[in-house]
Amino acid sequence: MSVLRFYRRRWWSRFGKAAWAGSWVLAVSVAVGQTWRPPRTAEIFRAFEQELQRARSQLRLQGAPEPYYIEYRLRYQTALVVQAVLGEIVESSENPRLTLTVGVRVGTPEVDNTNTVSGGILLFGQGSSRESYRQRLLPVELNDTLLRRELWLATDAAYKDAVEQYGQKLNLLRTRQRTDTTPDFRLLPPALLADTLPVPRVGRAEVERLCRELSAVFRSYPELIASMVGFEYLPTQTWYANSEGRQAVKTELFTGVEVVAYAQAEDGTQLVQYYSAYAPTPAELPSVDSLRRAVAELAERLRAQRSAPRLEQPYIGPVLFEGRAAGELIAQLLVPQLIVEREPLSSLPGFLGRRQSLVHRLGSRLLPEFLSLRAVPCLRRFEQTPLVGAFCIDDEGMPAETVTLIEHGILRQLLTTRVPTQWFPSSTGHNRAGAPMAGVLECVPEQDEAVQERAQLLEFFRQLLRQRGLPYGIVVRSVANLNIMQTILQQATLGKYPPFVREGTLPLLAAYRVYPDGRSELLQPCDAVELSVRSLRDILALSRHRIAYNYLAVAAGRGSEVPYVPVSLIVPDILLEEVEIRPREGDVPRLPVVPPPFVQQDVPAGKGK
Amino acid sequence: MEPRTRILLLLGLGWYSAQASLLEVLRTELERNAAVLKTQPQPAYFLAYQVTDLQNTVLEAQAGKLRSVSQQRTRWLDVDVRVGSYELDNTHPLQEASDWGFRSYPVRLPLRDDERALRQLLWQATMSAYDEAAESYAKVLAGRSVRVQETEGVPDFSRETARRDIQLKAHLQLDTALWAQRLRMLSALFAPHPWIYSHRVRLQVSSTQKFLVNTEGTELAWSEQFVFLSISAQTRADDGMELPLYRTYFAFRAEELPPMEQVRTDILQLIELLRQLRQAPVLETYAGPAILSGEAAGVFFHEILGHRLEGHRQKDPNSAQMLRDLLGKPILPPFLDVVFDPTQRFRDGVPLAGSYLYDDEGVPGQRVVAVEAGVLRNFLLNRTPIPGFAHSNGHGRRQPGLKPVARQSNLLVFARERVSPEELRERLRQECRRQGKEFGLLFASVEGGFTFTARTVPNAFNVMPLVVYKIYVDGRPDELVRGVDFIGTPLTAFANIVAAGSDVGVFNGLCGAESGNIPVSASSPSLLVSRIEVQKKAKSDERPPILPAPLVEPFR
Repeated sequence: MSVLRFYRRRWWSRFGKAAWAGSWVLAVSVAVGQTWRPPRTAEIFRAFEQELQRARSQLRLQGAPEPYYIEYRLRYQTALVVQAVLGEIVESSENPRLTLTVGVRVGTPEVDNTNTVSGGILLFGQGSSRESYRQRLLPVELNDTLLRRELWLATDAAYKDAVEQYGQKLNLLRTRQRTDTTPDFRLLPPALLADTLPVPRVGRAEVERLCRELSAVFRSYPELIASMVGFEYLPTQTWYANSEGRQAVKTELFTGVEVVAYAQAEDGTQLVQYYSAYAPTPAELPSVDSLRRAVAELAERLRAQRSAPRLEQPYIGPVLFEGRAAGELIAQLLVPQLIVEREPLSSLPGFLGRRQSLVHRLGSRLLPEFLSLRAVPCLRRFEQTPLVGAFCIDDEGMPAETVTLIEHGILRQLLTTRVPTQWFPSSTGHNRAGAPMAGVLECVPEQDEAVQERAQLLEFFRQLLRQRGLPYGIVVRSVANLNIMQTILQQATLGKYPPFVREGTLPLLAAYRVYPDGRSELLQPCDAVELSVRSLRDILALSRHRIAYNYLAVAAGRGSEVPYVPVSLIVPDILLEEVEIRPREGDVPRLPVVPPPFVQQDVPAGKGK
Repeated sequence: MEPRTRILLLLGLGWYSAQASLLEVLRTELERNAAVLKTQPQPAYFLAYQVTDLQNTVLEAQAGKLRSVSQQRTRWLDVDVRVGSYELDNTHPLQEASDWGFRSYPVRLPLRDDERALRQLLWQATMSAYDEAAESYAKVLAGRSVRVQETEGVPDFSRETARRDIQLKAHLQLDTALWAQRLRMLSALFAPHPWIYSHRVRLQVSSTQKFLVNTEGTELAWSEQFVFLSISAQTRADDGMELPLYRTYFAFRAEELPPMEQVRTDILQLIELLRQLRQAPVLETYAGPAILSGEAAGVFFHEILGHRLEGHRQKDPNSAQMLRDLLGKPILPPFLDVVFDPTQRFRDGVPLAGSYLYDDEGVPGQRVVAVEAGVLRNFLLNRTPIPGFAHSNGHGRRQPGLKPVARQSNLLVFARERVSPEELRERLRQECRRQGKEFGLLFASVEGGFTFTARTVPNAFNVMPLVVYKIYVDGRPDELVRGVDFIGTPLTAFANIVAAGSDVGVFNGLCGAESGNIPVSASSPSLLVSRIEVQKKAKSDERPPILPAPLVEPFR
């Protein structure tokens, strides 16, 4: 584990240099006269400390409570984004970004200004009249003077908002009889944490070449309507300090390649295939050859699917989710609910301030007893695969803790931030960009006869089909990922593919009909329906072999400052006893009335009108 | 030949042949699609592709340091499919849902002229646009059968002459290192003033190549380039009032911006003015005579007259259409003319931001005399005809991704009778005496570029002045005041213009409306208005920062 902890002040003067030497030199995308770097860690923390000190001792409005807790988060990010279509670049940009978020608490830890929602909360920190203090954009050429100035203005604004929120909250409390008297916050002793990594320099030209090469694969598939390759390299450096004396500095690296393609079957059914690979650095992505192979397989699968059979009627029976599909199953049904948040005090009737959570099922069975689940946030690699969801320090400067969440099928613990709840008073170090969220989760199959080698599992599945007299079963190899559906797929299809699905529905992009005799055939897309976290209790068997599944989880609208966070799952193949799978229902868009430009053979014009 | 080899060859042949190839590709795919679409049961009678190759560089500095740097080149595609006929098509305005400006998913094209990738994306975007157009057309037909005719048999699309012309310029090259250094230097002037809470020095260099082909035979390629250097600074008075000041320089090339020494002097003056503003008294409500500086008068006309002359509003059932019935009638004093002229690039040596060769429907920009000797003569028109006006006058403009509508270009106010600025002040004093006022107002500068179109508040206006002085009748020195908004009703305001000065002021800025942000200018002689009304600015109750600024000298 690369977390360093020094419960001593001024640690950077002794360790900072070594931790930082040569680790962060990035030129701005445009030649601006000098290669610049953000201020040094020591300077940042000195500025933090000076302004924290000033604010703690002097910042107060007459007749208003003083701040009892202040925190600063400075984030430096350089985003290199490239997108290509059919061998050509359509977008290429490289932008550095430095943001500051300030948190202020007034009152007392028992009752302070937080954990409340009022009508105006969306404007707090972003209002036009008050200086912004959440993700406030700072000059990329930051120096000590400028940083202190920005801290001064942002802290002032955050404090004024806090005072207003506190007043509103006290008013609201006067009208309520509280049942949950958990304190709003708990103060902690000082701590110093560091988790820094060297940030590799990534050449834009090289990335463009890769995107051209991968997207050019689709040039041989003129019958497909759209395709796109996207690449993103997003190294992030975060400096955190609060008035308790907690300081943390960390590096997070993220690289992603996403590939989507879109077509319509002859009957108009919308067909989509995607591929994604995520790693901390570009060097850790699969090799160019294997990426190219993956793209070619995707294109072939989509081509095949255009004339693939439809599922004529709903299928109800055992379904085997393999590899990445098993990852999506867990990602969509289970992961978002493995957190607990406090219900904010609200003046708005029926305000749904909290996400769905499994908190009321603590101590009850969620999974079969041969399956456990652990949060291992600081695990950076599983076998050969780097884990993009890994982090060792969370965004409140807390060490990310390894926790057993589900033990032999029984829910024991949920992921938390520093906001205490009646169930868990302390943090598991899972504050990610402002909200609790998993980083790395490991499914741990226990010793049991239900846990088998992959080949045996498939054989077991076929046996099951025979036993139940089913003509065929369904094996799922690809499930639509929400992030892909809502971002690059929308861009590639010009918004023609629906970005959302009904709750409890998993769109199956690659489902195979498998016959008891071993034959299998790819189906047109269909949907697994009426699924919920309860469906996972019916896991019948697992493979011993596990893969690491990296993905971007949707975080927007959930108190998070970012739209997506990287998450990694270590998952086996999963056999569910009974799933209902339905063919796609409803109208489909008509086929394009003009055939695509490079298809020579007779694609009927205007068919399907 | 493989498309890839061809690209390499074209690059070798040089830049112009490469661009010619883009037009060829657009033409090929346009014809291929149009041939099929016109035979559909819902036939597309018109198809156009516009490619906007935009290279945008933005540098921003604060207190001697770069704040952000971005340089981006994007090629946007806009597809215009019209289903039905020139007389009645899918764009026909419907009463209930004005979806004008509705943006479908933006289409980005490859940055190089690769035929394979280009044609695939052109086709995909055409299919998507056709489906939307066919759906809208069905709605139009259904809506028409149950409603009375709203627009008196005016066609939905005008017939225009096809044009072929290639006038491309290479993209602007910017010495970013040099400019970064200049911006650092300029923004450093603010650093010693902690009471200026925020400030920016920003350079935007926008270089656009536009390509347009349509099924009428038009084939155009032209360039639009502009540079904005803008300074903004903001402080807060002790009573919480926000006090912003702006200064903008416009040029067609970065080299044509004023010398840095002048910008430096202007910034120092702006800082001084900001300092005075913080101490300036708040003006209570006032109704009486005022002088609008040329720049302020330009913005006044842009908001109050310009937006109401935009042709499509005369047809839109959701618009107030207040000028429609005043055609041929006086709306301004007889000594004033108002002209819109995209072909005029300078006024008194000052470059004008609303200049262009062709509008975004491929119609040449034309000089439009909207008001002649005070009489309303013409509207700004795109290819959406209005009663009495069958053709476009080259004012169909848009930001990529939006539908073009009639927009302003260079608004030019001319006065047939002019007096010297000194005499204008004297006439203001006379007018004050006549009305029994102790002082008149001088609106030296107004905030521009962020105002709304008047459609949502059709019969009133509100201009936000930045710098206002009291001019006393008794000859006391002018006094800076703060905290007023300038309000009124358009026709009354026009009627109250009594004289014009011989000095001309130019306001260059970006105008935002339903077809996006576009560069425009508004210029005018200074004007004496016999009666204007001001109201107190909606004041923030925000206090200045509680603690003094760090490091530097104490705040108060």
